[in-house]
Amino acid sequence: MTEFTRNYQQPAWQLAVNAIGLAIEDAGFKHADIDGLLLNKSPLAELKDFPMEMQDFAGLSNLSLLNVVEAEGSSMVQTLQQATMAIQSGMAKRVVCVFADTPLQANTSAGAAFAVAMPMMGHLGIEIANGFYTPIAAYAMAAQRYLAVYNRSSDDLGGVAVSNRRWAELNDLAKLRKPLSIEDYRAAPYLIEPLKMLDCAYPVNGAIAVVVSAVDEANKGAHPAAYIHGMGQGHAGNINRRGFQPEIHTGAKQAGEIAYKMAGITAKDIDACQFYDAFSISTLINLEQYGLCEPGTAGDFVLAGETSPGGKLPVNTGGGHLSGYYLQGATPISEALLQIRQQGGARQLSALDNLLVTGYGGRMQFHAALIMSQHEERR
Amino acid sequence: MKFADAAVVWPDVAEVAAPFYQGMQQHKVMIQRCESCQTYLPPVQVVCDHCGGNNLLWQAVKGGGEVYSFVVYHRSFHPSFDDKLPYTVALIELTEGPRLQALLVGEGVAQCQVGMQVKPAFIKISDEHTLLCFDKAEK
Repeated sequence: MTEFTRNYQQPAWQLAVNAIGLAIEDAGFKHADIDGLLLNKSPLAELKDFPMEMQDFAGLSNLSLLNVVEAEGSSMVQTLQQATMAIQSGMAKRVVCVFADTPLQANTSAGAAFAVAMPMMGHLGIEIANGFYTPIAAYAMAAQRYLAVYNRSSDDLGGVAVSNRRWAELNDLAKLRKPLSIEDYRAAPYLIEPLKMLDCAYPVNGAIAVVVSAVDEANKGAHPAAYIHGMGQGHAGNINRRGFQPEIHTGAKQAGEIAYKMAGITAKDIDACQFYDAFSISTLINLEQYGLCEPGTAGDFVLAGETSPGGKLPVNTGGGHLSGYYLQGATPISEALLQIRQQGGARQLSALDNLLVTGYGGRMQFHAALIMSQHEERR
Repeated sequence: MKFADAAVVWPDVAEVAAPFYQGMQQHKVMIQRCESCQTYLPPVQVVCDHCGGNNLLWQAVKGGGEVYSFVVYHRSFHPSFDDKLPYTVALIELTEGPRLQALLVGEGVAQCQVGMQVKPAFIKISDEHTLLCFDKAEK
């Protein structure tokens, strides 16, 4: 991984090249050993800023696998899934997966970069006339529905922000580390009600690259490898009519069931979660849809401290997107790998048999999940 | 809050969405219905998500319904809405089942909650454009 900054220093492709080089060396390989490259371009970036020619920028030739994986926020998890499938099928042996983004430009704040009209209604395109701008709005809509259906208060959202902050306090890489209480959260103003700034991801510029290899080459590097035991996807669609609640019943359920089955586990075996959590509401919904909490109970679970340091089920142990750093799907993967490599410092977890690592995109339509372990064999 | 004064921000209307926008100008709420299975569908679909049928007919409905969810903007992300704060955008579940995203206007805005009964309100926002909004329905 590169340094994560709040100012613009290098274009995304250059950050990616740096991260690719670091990852190859870290994994104990040379450039010539790499035969696959999977690119996760930010949905906000232009293809010309993160093109197929990344291969040449990174000095990689004779690749037998090359693709730009575009599945919005689920892309980075999907790159690891595609790399795994390619290796298992014999199409490639050592695949680099990379994400890089620079939402903070010299003349553009992160807020401005993400202030686009949010497509919720497909071809209808009415969002522009309704003033329905920024992804925050789509998540505020989901949050309002969730709180109403289960008769909960916005403290549930605040609990997620507080839990993430407590982890961030223990993480030198995290960007927002000042202690945060539920009282602080309650006192903060609304941005798009019921969401506040504290419910939203904290963007940075940076790049993260991961090398995926077969198991027999897993220990060439200086650090322990993470083993992938399960993978799943779920894309439940965006059906806007009675009988469907895509805001709170998501494809995460399907992605989790497939990944658990592949790993030979159930939700009860999950030691910790690294969720894509661009907005606080998504952590509550993910806890429920991945089978870790009953519907409507995730808020109580979080407010009881169960996802915080010392809790039963650590969640987003680097501070997540809210307090750590928002590098889309690369954030949860990076924290899972840091934990498995025993580089967690003050926040190091002891139980690392089954980590649930997820990504989602759009307004929680597109989901991808991995089960990662520090052990080669299933536990 | 008066949307009649809004600087007009209007989408490039896709051909498949045109009947909805033409309907708004005539104060009609237009949705689609699958001719094969009779399911009412939110605009715009080209294939029925229930039966896979592709013969979808546009139909005007009364436009009554309830608030399925809503958000309140306390900050503007577009200059056209700077002087409209705070404003409320809701997902309205029509009596027939489909949901529409729309601005909430009128007396009901301050009392908005999930489940509140609403009726359509057509707001003329320029000489060319009328926008379908919703207002609280009387009991």
